[in-house]
Amino acid sequence: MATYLLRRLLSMLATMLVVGIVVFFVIRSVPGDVTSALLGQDATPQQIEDLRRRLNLDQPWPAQFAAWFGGVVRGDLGNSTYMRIPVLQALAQRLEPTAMLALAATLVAVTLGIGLGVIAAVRHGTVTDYAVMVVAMLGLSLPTFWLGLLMIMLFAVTLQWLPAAGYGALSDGVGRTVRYLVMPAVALGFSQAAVIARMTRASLLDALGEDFVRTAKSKGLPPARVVLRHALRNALLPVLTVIGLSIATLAGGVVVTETVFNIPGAGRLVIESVQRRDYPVLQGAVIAVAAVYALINLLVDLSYLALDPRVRYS
Amino acid sequence: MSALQGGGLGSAAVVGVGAGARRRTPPLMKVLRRPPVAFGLTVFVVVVAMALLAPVITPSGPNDLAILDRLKPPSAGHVMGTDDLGRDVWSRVAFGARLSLIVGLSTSLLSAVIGTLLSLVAGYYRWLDEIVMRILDGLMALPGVLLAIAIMAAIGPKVINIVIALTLVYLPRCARVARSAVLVVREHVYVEAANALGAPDRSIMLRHILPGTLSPVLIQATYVFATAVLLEASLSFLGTGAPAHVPSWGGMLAEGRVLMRNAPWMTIFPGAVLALTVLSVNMIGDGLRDALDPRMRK
Repeated sequence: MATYLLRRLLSMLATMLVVGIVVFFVIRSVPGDVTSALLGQDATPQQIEDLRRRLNLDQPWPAQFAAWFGGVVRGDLGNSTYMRIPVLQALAQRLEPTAMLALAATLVAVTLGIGLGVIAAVRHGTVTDYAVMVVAMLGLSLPTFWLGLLMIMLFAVTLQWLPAAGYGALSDGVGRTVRYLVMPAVALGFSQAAVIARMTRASLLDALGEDFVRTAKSKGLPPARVVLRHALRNALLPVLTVIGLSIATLAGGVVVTETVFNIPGAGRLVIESVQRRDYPVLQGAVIAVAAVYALINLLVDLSYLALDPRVRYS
Repeated sequence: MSALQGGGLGSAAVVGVGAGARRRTPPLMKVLRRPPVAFGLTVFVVVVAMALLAPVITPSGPNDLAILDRLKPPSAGHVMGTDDLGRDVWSRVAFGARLSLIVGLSTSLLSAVIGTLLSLVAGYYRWLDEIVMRILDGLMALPGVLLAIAIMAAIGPKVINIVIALTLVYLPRCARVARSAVLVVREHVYVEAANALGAPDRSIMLRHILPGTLSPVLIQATYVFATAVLLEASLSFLGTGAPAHVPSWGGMLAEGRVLMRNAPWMTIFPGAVLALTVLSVNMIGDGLRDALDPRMRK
């Protein structure tokens, strides 16, 4: 187990290295010099020289990369060229809304997805099953930002039940936070709920055809217990993998959803950094998300252990 | 059409479905007649026609300004209303279809072709496999939107750049699918036989292994089409996609968002057409999967 963890952590580092190289070269491929983009037209040669030295641009690129990636590994993502503060600090200031949104959207996706998937599988071949599959198909096809805009029109503009945009900090009361998060979380989570529902249905249908389910039924166990304790538990492994992928997609989706609902989170910061050409922040945000994603994948693999005693990592 | 079927039957044979198990009616034709697939095909054909005929079926150019006609609700003259610059929303929706279809088609084609070739070479020369897969894993370790935003931020808002960015996002996903097929096919006896007979590597890859990868990649490519159309719209919505003078559904939604209270038609129509387009491609994809994936056959 310990060797498995160590190997996984090492391979995570290898993946981060590849991500780092990709991001580094993507940003370096900016046409023209980054300094002219940052300082504008009227910069003096001295200013340009200073900035080049500060950004390590006077070094050959392998040295630039080594310096930057070495910092990343130690948790130093560099400094924002626009806000003049460390990138990590800039991200941390914007973390709460993003984390809460991602959490709420995951909650929507997982409960709605597994719930609908189980209902569809149990009512296989009926109108209910068909209806759930139609809803799932819509979830896959509706653009999250359009769904968000439609919800704002209905629930905020017409019915005035919920605030149209913005974010309520946790320190101002959890109830307020929830009111602000309901629409963004549903808009963001719905498409992933569809993915999870399709997987749950397919996987549970397979499991329901297995011998051990017939045995459980013939023992006279109540149907709900057969489905939830025996079949669903075995059906959850592939679903978990999909949930891991879903969380990664949600992590990317916050960028769009935060723009729709004007939420001042890390996703907005990414877009603002693009507009301000604040490349250190953009680089840092991308690396941070990749790290979170890798950790989630590790957690998903470890949770197999808890769900299926047959799985052993060595 | 026959090329599609060839791919399907080829892979069925590979997985061991004997010739006797084949049906008289080609499964593809049967699947095409199912209501959801037929619906998807119909909608998709309409969207393609809309894109091709855009100059003929719209009252004005997508960028024609008519300041006196600003923010008019839908009427006989402007079936989808006008925007804040007096531009006809229907014209912009119809011309916007061109961008979505071009981006969807080029992205799915490029990522499928490059992804397949890459996995063929990597799956055949095993020492290459580790390197290629590490790089693809690195690309896949990022959410697609974020990777696309970062690439677009670096190379700038141009249509060709959208295709480049989206191909880099979806290429690894196609390569993964192709690779798992290559890994199965390359272990078959007939590949070993071709090898023993002294067939050159290139001919083994292209004539013996490639056919077995076609149908899973084709199915994957359809889904890539649908998600690429969505992702392009997201990028344009965020202002990092299509340049301002190219009408795009995502860009229209960004303009509509600000004027949602005064001009809901600016938001409703482009979004509905976008959703229908993606829905139709997803339905075609599900149909293809049912027809071509041997595991789905009863």
